[in-house]
Amino acid sequence: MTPELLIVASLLLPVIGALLSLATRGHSAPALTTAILGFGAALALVGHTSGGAVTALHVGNWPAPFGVVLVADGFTSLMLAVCHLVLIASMIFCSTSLPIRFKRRHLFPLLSTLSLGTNGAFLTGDLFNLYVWFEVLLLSSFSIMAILPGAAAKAATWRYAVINLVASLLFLVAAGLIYGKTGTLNFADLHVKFQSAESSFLIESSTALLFGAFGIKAALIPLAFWLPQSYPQLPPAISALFAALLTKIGLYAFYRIFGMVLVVEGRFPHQEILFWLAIVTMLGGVLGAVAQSDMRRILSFHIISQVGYMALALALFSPLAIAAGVFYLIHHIVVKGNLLLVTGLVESHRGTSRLHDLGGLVRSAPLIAMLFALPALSLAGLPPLSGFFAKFSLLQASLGTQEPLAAIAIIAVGLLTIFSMLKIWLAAFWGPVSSPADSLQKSPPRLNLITSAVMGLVTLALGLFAGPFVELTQTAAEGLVNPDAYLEAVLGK
Amino acid sequence: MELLIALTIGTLVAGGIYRMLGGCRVDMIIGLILLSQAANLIILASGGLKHNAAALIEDDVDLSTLADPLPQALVLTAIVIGFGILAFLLTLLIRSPK
Repeated sequence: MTPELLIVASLLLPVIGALLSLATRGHSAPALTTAILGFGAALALVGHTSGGAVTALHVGNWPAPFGVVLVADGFTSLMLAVCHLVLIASMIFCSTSLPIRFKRRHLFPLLSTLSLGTNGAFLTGDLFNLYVWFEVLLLSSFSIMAILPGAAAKAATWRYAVINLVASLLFLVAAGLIYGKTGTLNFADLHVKFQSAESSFLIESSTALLFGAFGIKAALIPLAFWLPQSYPQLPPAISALFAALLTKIGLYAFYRIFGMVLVVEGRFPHQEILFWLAIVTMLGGVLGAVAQSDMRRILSFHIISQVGYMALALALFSPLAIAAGVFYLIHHIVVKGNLLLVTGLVESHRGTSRLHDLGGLVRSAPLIAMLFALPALSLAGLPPLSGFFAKFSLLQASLGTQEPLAAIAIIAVGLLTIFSMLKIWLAAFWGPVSSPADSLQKSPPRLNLITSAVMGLVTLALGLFAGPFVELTQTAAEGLVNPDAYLEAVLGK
Repeated sequence: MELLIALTIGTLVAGGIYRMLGGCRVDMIIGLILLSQAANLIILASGGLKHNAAALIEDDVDLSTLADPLPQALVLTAIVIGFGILAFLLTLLIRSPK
């Protein structure tokens, strides 16, 4: 298939999956099949773009700055592939481990439309289109949260919905102001126009609005407090998907807009603020995690802390730092998704994820313990797992750009991450087997164990065969820092 | 005209934020509606305001007398999305316990 067809397939497959799943009363098979096909399409796109090639699809054959463009470059295709991986794993977990009331009719169509929204957001080359795709994935995620029973979950849905809608409005206003200033919404055209824009006031103010919008979505710390309020309410099978897709979409938008479109002479607006917020986010997130006593909540705070790392990579803004950031994103999506899925295994084994009620899992379920240890050590950054290479290259980049403070923060937060992982390990996996739950112990579905093991092996593979992956991320980073191929593919000059 | 639009946007934003800080859920919905109307007006104004100008392009017309059609298309999309979200929020409000 040509890359143009693969782009169309990435958008059409989730639609087909959602419709078929809806037509079969919420059956999981169509959604899962289309997700696997989408994964295949994404891998093929990675193959096409691995040499730095960029493919642009001009929808309806309208020439570039006027029509909508869908663009697949190295960064986009890597993100597509890794998000599909987590989507498939999450769908398998949803179909085997969730109680029946979740699965009635609407869950799998909504998971498909969520994937449609993320694919669209990755592929679009147009600011307003990005807003529309954000709305598609937000409405899907709101609806998934609204299925959850109970007053606490409804309150969490409410908080999550309102803060995200405010972020969308900020984004919408920013898009309007940027159009008013430059007369275009196309990423490539905007990049060209910003090089020669004379007044910086309107650009500074409208990009500040974009900063706020993406900051809320990515969960940077002064704007992140909605996340630990809402994610722990979700069952782990779904929160794995949310953690892997939703905040990372915010980061993707940061990388794409601030790291490519708005860059003028090697800098982007509000770079200093992003740098400081990233460090505060890293520290605050991990300190929050240390203070918690429920696996779901600890892992939710870790998401925030890790977002800080990826934002820091962008703020350092050297080719090496961006490559480290892209590697970190991919590593993080796989590892964080897997950690939450293993939390799901623990819950189906013991019926709870509160550290107080857990204990002795190493003896009662050695397999789950091993499945947890692999991503946990990777998140903490131990070699030879993917987390080590992610943190190491980020550290190297921070030393290369003469930012000792960033280097200190990376190491200190890494140690605190190990500490909070140890807390889970000591309380849940070691220690005496807690007695009252003994009679309830069940072994989780075998398919889930296999899925989680595959995700763990991906982490291991990303670390053991780091060379080719680092090359892919470097190509992706090169495409962001030096977007000549992107401009040529979109504007056709 | 510009001044009027600017004042309207300012009033809508101020009112919207005031209502959102009210804390009760109905207040939040009203606040969000006001804010999204303000956002729509900003987009509409971003294309430049012209009195009584059509957005159609014909061959022998001076382009400076025409209105910019793109913000109008954007606003239409934003209104539709805002309406969908309003419907969702109202459903959530009715379904959620007091």
